[in-house]
Amino acid sequence: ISDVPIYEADLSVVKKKDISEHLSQFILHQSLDTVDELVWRSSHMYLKTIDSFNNYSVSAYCTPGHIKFLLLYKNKNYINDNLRSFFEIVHENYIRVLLNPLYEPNGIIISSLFDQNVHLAAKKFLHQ
Amino acid sequence: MSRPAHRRPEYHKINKDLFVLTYGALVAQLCKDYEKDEDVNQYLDKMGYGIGTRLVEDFLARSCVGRCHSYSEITDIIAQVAFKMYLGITPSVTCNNSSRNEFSLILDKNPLVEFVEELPAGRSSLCYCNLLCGIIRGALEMVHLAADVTFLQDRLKGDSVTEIGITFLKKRDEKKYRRKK
Repeated sequence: ISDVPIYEADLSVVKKKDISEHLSQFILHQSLDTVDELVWRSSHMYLKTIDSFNNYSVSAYCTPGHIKFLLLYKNKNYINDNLRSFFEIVHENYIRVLLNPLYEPNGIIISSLFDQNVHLAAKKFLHQ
Repeated sequence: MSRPAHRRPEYHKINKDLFVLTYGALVAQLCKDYEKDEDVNQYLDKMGYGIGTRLVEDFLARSCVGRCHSYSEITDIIAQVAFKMYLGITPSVTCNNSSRNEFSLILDKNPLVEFVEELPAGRSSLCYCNLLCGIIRGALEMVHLAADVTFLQDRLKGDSVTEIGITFLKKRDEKKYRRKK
């Protein structure tokens, strides 16, 4: 299992980046270690907010197959329920990708339906 | 307790997801084995042919269809009895030419592709369900009917419907006793 992301998306409402993509990736990668520890201490898939850097926070969700969903967000105090719901929808869609016999597990996710649904979930639970 | 006097061959049902995922694993493995879509399609057709030549006996035993008098009847039976029996769907039948030897089965639902949302990049000519064409072709051949069976349209490739075309090749011999799949 490598640390190469199989899917990335910019879910911001205004697509103006005030931190570089490198920095976002760096913050997220740093948080992977924390996730690796926390999964064994929690019986839930949703791990809540696990790390922060300046104004940014990382929230994580780990599937039973140890696929990790990480969300980097700025400044906002998200209600846990919204974050959890968002991750649950991503998880559901990830399962659908996995069920596709022609998808290689741990391969890059190219499904446009997955991408679409992730954005819709972000709109519903994160853009408020 | 006495045994029932007459028992039809038993239907053993299996979980649909298991069946669909097994078929998917088959196609996925063929994709790994063969680089070209045409090769995968051809192999699926070959495998289907092997299944069809054997399956037709099972079909005829279970369904007890009578003698068919035309290609159109045969195609109707394939759509309404055989597909229904093995896949739980009933494609609609259209006749494509005036000499009445070219038909199409229009599949509104196709359980085999349930988990495949889209064909992966680089596999755009893959006929995911080509096994079905081989099955129909093999079954027809076992009852002495030569036919070409191919996918004319495929939802997975972006077409609006999934359509299997059956073209009966030889002229019917009126005198032959024919039961059909």
